[in-house]
Amino acid sequence: MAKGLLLSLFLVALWILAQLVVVHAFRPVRVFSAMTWLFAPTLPAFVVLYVLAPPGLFVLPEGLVRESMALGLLNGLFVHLLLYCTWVEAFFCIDRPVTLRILVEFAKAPRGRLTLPQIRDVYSLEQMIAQRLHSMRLNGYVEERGGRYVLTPKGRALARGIRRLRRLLGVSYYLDAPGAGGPARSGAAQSP
Amino acid sequence: MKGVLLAAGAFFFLVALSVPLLRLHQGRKYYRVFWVAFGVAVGLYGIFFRVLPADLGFLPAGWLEAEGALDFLNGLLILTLLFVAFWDAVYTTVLTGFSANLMALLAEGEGLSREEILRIYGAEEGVDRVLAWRLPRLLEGRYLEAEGAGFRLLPKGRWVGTAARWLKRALTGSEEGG
Repeated sequence: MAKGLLLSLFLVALWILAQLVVVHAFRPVRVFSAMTWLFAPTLPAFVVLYVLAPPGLFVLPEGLVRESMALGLLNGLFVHLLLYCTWVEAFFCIDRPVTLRILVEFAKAPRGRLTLPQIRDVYSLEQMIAQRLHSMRLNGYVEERGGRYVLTPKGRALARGIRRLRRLLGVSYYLDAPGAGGPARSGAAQSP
Repeated sequence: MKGVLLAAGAFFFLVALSVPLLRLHQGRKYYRVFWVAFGVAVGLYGIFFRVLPADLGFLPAGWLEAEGALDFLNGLLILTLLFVAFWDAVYTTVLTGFSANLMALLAEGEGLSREEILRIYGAEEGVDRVLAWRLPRLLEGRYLEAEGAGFRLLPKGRWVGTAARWLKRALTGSEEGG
């Protein structure tokens, strides 16, 4: 197990490094795709390294190298995939949240002060929505037809899943919650 | 292998427990429900790992990890990573994600124009609904302070804003996004 975990950590570190180089050098429009394409070769690399490398990787103590090769390989691959998911989640938790963006704009402002019109100048609702729609269009969830944004079959399936899960959990979107000044179309995002 | 199987069991329990807990929860800080479910799942994982035999009564000898501590930590790592994936998919994406909500709105009828979307989020009002919801929470959490006609960043907000700015630049090459 220890061998697989170490190999996975090593490959994930290389992948993150490669991602940083690609993001800064080439500025890909679809970052998630770039991350996934860069991750893909680490899967066969993991298998090859696991099979070819010595059981203790020259560093592991004797007690940690006695294991079934197939199980160690499968466990390592599973953890490797989970680390991929975790890093992608961490990336989007930094890139996407609206609250973080507001705090970033305050941190950039002279003496950390902004008025409401100034907040709207640097980070407006229009800009936020345009950016999200652009990203959803690039990723094939939405298309523009005659000035209207319409979900593609892929987007519709995802939206159905989102609404079903919200209904199952009995939780409404935070802007729809009572007292939050919900959308003009009350309960719009959670109706069946 | 014992750790992996127990971690899988604990994760299914975590998911199953989250549903009734969320339905019963009153109030807005429902992210706490996920942490409670995770805490219970980790506790049960630890107890079952301690009391059950190494082979769980059915695992063949070749599937046993010689080092019990490594088996335990490997299972705990898997349980934690599964929880992070679950948290992200359900809490940060489905329940609170801005894009996810936009998609849920677009699923109704024949789609929406940009103007209609803006109207739904209150762009025509003095303060749009996104800011109207976020700013009071930032004040409540002592990230910002009201000052005159605007707001001032407090030390906690400065720390988070500066760290986020640095991380955004390092990871995405830009301070925008969001």
